[in-house]
Amino acid sequence: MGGYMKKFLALCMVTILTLGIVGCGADEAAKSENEGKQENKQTAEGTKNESEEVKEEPKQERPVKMLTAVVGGNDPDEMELWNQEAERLSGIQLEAVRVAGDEYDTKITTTLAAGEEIDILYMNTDIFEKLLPLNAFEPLTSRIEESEVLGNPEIIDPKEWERIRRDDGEIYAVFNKYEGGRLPLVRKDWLDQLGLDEPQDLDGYYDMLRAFTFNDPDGNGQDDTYGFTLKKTYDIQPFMGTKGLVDGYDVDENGQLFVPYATEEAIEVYDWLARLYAEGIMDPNFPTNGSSDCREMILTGRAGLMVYWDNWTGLFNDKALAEDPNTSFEIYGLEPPKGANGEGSITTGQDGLFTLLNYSDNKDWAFKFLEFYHTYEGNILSTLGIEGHDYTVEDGKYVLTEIGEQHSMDHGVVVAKSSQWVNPVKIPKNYEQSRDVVLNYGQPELINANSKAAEEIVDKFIIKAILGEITGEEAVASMQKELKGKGLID
Amino acid sequence: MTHIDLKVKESKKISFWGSVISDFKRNQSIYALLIPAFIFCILFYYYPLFRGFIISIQDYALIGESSWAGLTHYKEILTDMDFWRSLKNTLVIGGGNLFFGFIIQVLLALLLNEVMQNKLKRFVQTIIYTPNLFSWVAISGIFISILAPDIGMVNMALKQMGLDTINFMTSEKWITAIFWFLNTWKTAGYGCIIYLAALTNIDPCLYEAARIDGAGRLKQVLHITIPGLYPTMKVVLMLNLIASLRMFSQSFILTNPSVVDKTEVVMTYTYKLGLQNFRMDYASAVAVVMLGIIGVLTLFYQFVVKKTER
Repeated sequence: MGGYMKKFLALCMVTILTLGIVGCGADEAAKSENEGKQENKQTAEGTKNESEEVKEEPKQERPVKMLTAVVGGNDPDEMELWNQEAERLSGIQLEAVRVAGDEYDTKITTTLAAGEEIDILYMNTDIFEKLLPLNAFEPLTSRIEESEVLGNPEIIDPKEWERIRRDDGEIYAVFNKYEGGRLPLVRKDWLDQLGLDEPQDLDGYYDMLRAFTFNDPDGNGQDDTYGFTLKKTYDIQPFMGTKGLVDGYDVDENGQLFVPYATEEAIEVYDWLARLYAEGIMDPNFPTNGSSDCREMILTGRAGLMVYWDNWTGLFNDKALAEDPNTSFEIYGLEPPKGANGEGSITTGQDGLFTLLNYSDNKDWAFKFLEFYHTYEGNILSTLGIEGHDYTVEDGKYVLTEIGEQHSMDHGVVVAKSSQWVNPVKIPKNYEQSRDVVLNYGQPELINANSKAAEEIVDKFIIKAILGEITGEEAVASMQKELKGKGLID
Repeated sequence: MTHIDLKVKESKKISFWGSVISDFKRNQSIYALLIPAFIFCILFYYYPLFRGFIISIQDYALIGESSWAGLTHYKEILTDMDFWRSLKNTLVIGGGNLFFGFIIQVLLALLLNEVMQNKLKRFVQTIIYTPNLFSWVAISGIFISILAPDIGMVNMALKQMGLDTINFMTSEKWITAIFWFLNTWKTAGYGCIIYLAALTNIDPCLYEAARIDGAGRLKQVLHITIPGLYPTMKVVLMLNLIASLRMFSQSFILTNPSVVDKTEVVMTYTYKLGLQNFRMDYASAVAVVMLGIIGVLTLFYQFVVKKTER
């Protein structure tokens, strides 16, 4: 009896466990099936009226699935609202998933490796360059040329398309936004307080940063400020620009690939930065800083300058004004320092790109969504956000809600790529002036599949040079040796 | 003679399998309970291992057909200085973590075992266990600010003493020691609790007998407590050895470009290769090699332990 009982109980347990496992799967399957049915039902209902008017209108079989790092709502709940708003405005069912932060690259890899059902994949240029040789992307050239939106030179400058056209003549991606560039953003109120003029060259910058550090620019009577805060070596390009050097890779007159930061021209700038560090003008935490640390330093009045995106000019000012409407805090974009020949440059942002995966069976609808994305309504969706949630329309005017103010008119896009885009709410303080600096001095960086690996090596020796552990000359020699050793430069 | 030997061996073989089959028949309902766990292990442990090995001998394409590469990626590892550098760092950082962690955990357990007041004991236990609840991200934030060169507590103290400040997080001289310290600080409480639990299993009669024989506290610890901890030490050390060789989070979070030569470990290197540079085939080969190294070291450890037992 006891033996039978044991057997019976054991079999019951196994059955329950097995059913549990199978049940979960079944639940999921049933759930997705039901969702699918509901979606189809909704689609059918949604298109029923339309089909009565226009019989030939093609029916969307399933939602367009999009994976993105920047576009959409700021949390999962808002993401759902954003998807609904996208469908309301475009008439296209969308399931956008936003994976924020450093995990995004990993998500892309696993998505592709698993053959996950994704139609639109967002990525930065460096990832794009690595994935393009894998033939993962659908060529979009003819679609773009035939598109009333993307092919319209009044919306996107044809030069921009040419810039991302590949050697095979094809265009494989659609832009996300106007990327802007990283320029020196300065506490203008500190400049005014100390009676300083805008600096023009490295010496001028040195004098300004020294004054920010030692002349009590905030007038609180304490020695609690740094001239310059930065995140690793991410922010040194405007100073490198005095020697005609840009971020990333470059090609010399013989077609040889080289890293500008690893050339002898850079030595003088490394020694100049090391001097800032040695004299206590530079934030000594720069090797461990993240962007948020630097932003915090600026917002809390502990540093007077950081090199950052032009659109943050307005965001900084808006944040400070939101905290205290009477604040004297003012961020302003400076022109980069000029070299002996009057040359100066800043780095424009690498493109954020939307690609269509070539295994997608939903390419037509996916491309339609990308077309919509660059219309005025699409621009509103990616900047202001969701009507009734981020903004309301009163008497034809767009008014931000409290949530909308918090989101700073940024749902993946601060400034739309479209030449016709004008922010209907407000233009943030000093933003346009910063944008003009970027337009005047901006230079794109040359990115390839090895950019990240080269950057890691270069960063390592630049930091050592700034910390004074090695000289600028030794840093460049070490960079050259390691880059050549790994076949990262010709 | 040989004929008889063979017969004996054959009969043993039959009896072994016979016993297995009869045992299975006798306890089939119990074995049935294992089926879900068995399926789980096959699906989520052994299949990925096998799949990883297959990828390592392919020129793996994320999309489309992969071609066979044989041992190409394994040959590449032999000349990959970054791999050897990360392996050296793994052994140095992992070895230090293992050594200091072990010493501190045992020492804390022995000291706490001597505390007679239960409330104080529990309070100290809670204090030293708390760091184990922190993620490496939180620990990184806390210690980067404590060790900050300008307003960090440690450097403020150095300034007060008239000494030069040290940029700990960017110093190749200091960073390994910082890693050892942080890992020891984080894991001390966890190991300590395991050892304390083991201490409760030691027969109190042994201490009583030792006291009657005139043994003092120190002798009791040396001759009863520590030998009583040996079985636990062996297991915990082996688990920590494996964990040290598989370390990822600490390095991933605390590494910055200026110390990457000293802090990049095999697991972060594999992550970088596979998930950031899309070289999944080579990354899989590195992972397989690392699995082999972990296996060899674990077997060697067990061999040494068994030898010392004899």
